[in-house]
Amino acid sequence: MAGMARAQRIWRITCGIAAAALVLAHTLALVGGAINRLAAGPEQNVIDKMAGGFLGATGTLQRWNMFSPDVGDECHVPFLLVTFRDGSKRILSSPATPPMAGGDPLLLARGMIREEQRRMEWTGHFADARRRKLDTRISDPVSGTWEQGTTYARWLLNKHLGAHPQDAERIAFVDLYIAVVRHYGEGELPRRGDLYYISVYPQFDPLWPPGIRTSLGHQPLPPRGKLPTPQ
Amino acid sequence: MSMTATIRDLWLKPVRAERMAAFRIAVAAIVLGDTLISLLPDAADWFGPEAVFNASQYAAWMLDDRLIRWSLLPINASLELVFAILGLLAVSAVLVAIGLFTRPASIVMWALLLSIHNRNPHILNAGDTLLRCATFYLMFMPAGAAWSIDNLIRARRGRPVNGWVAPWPLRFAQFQIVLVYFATGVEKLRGFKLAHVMQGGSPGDWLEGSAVYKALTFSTMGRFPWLFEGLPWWVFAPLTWVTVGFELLFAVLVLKRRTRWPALSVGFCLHLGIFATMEVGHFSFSTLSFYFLLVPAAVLMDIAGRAAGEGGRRTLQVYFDGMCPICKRSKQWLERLDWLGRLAFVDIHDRARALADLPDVSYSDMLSRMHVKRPDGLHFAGFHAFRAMAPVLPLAWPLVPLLWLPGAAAIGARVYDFIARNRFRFAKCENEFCAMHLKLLAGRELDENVIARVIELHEKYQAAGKSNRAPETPAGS
Repeated sequence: MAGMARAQRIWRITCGIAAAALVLAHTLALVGGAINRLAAGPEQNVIDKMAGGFLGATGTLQRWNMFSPDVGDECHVPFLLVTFRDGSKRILSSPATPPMAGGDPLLLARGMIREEQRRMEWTGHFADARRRKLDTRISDPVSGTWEQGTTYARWLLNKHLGAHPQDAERIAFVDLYIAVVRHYGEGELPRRGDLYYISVYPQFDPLWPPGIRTSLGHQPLPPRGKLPTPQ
Repeated sequence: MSMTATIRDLWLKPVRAERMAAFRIAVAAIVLGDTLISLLPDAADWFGPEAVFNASQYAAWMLDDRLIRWSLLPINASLELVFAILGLLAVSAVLVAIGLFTRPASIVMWALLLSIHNRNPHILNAGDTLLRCATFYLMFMPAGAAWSIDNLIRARRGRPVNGWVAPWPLRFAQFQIVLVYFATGVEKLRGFKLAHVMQGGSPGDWLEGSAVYKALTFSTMGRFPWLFEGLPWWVFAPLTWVTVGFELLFAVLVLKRRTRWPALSVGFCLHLGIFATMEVGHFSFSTLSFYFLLVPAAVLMDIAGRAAGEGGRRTLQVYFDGMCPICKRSKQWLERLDWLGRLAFVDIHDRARALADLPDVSYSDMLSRMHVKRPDGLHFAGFHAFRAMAPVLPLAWPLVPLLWLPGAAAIGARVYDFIARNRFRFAKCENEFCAMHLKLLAGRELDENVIARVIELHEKYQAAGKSNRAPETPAGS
């Protein structure tokens, strides 16, 4: 009985030490990584790689740069412009995106959106943080990639076709755009800024609906990574 | 105390488990709420075979050679498997919240949360990062040592339950939240470029003071961006600077006992403001869950009304003047607000008891202000007494952070003292004893002579209560 109790005690102490060592290593990685980033900047080095490895495995990799170093003056909204064979157009966007003014996508594409109208329809946001985060990630000119753009376009398209299967035969081509919305300035309404065209590559996504192409037609896959230069 | 002893105590001296238990319940509630509200309804879009983050992207993300990542969800996971994982995540969160199989359940919760988060990084925000950190620390915490079914089972089996646990997991988690604030503050200052400023450029959104305004009007993240339309940005400049200062100084402020409550109050208001004005999911709640690790355990035990390993109910003793109508009315109100039954009232005219309970408080002080004594022996007077009671009164919970804001004590104490000093003016007495009592106290220094008369009056009042006789004016009044 005494031997059992002793073994239990040794087991508990060993577990405690192992757990403390793990948390200590975690904290060292956390602090080391943070100091290294402050000192060395965003470029990867050995410390960054070691810290990143440990923190990545535990799911605690972190960088606390919300709205830092600057908030900026604009945000980005992705949307898919569907052009039908009869020449009509339709905008597909995430449910988190405000309805486009007047339902006429060409207004947006031509930079003629009536901001007052859009503002009135964009009344508030509740429980859509994940969709909005997705939209931001897709359209972020710094971190966005063509892979993200392609799957996002496919996702929007398939959701639309799921609800309107008859449209599959009517669609001529689709194009992904990112609208830049400037924030309210002092005494100003939000203004639409530039409009980016994002190349998407249907062959990248096996779930892309067959027979639907982009206005640019088939293009070879570019190297993985950043969004192509806006056109 | 030597530095070595301080460090040893900090990391090794047992602490009460209630803070970690509160953290456990809060984190599990957030995981459960987030799973049910934002993950399950859109599971097909986020994680299924036709997710917006497809299998090829998922594979590339997992095999990124710069980081080690893993997930229990295979590359081509079926939607059924996704639902099963989310269901298990919800179940593990429930188990953690109620404290049943706490340790294994918290390990499962962490592993499943990480697996789900790794399946689609595009929908994650800072709140998710913080939630993963919270679940990671929770695995190491003896968080089931209080307010848990595990504890009940342990007690039933005759095992010792005393609520005292090793402090080191708590310290690591406290360090985490301090690091979050400090790193956030430093990142904000990185917008400052001296050369740019020397050439007449902006010192950056945060130092310039425009950051909060810009964040509030951020069209895709603001909850009501139009609400702030047309307002000048400089209105929000003080808030911008307070935010940066608070983040940079948080570590120092919470380290000092005197500034801890005000710092937590400012932080609470800040995060409540973020939640009200920005759609950033559970970020505010995830951050605030860490605050439980910084609140004194005694306060949490008082709210719960019990502490692990202690028999009986924890109550706050409220010492009031039973002959003063305003005090009696206040007592009635407090009794109505005391839904949890955490207050016990003692009439200070039961002088022997009052003086025995509060030996270092003079009777004149008791006559001047209401006093509250916490189960841990600390006692408070006047506004501070009300502030000590607020955490155990559910309706007063929204007020708690406001009562601790910088300056609140100074204003609150003045208001309380004014009312206490002038209570004889506002009061409507039902009998002569009360009128004479207030007359005795009004505008006077409560010296031994006055106190003697108060005692004499009260004795007469008690005697009159028994014989229904009319009062006699105390000598010298």
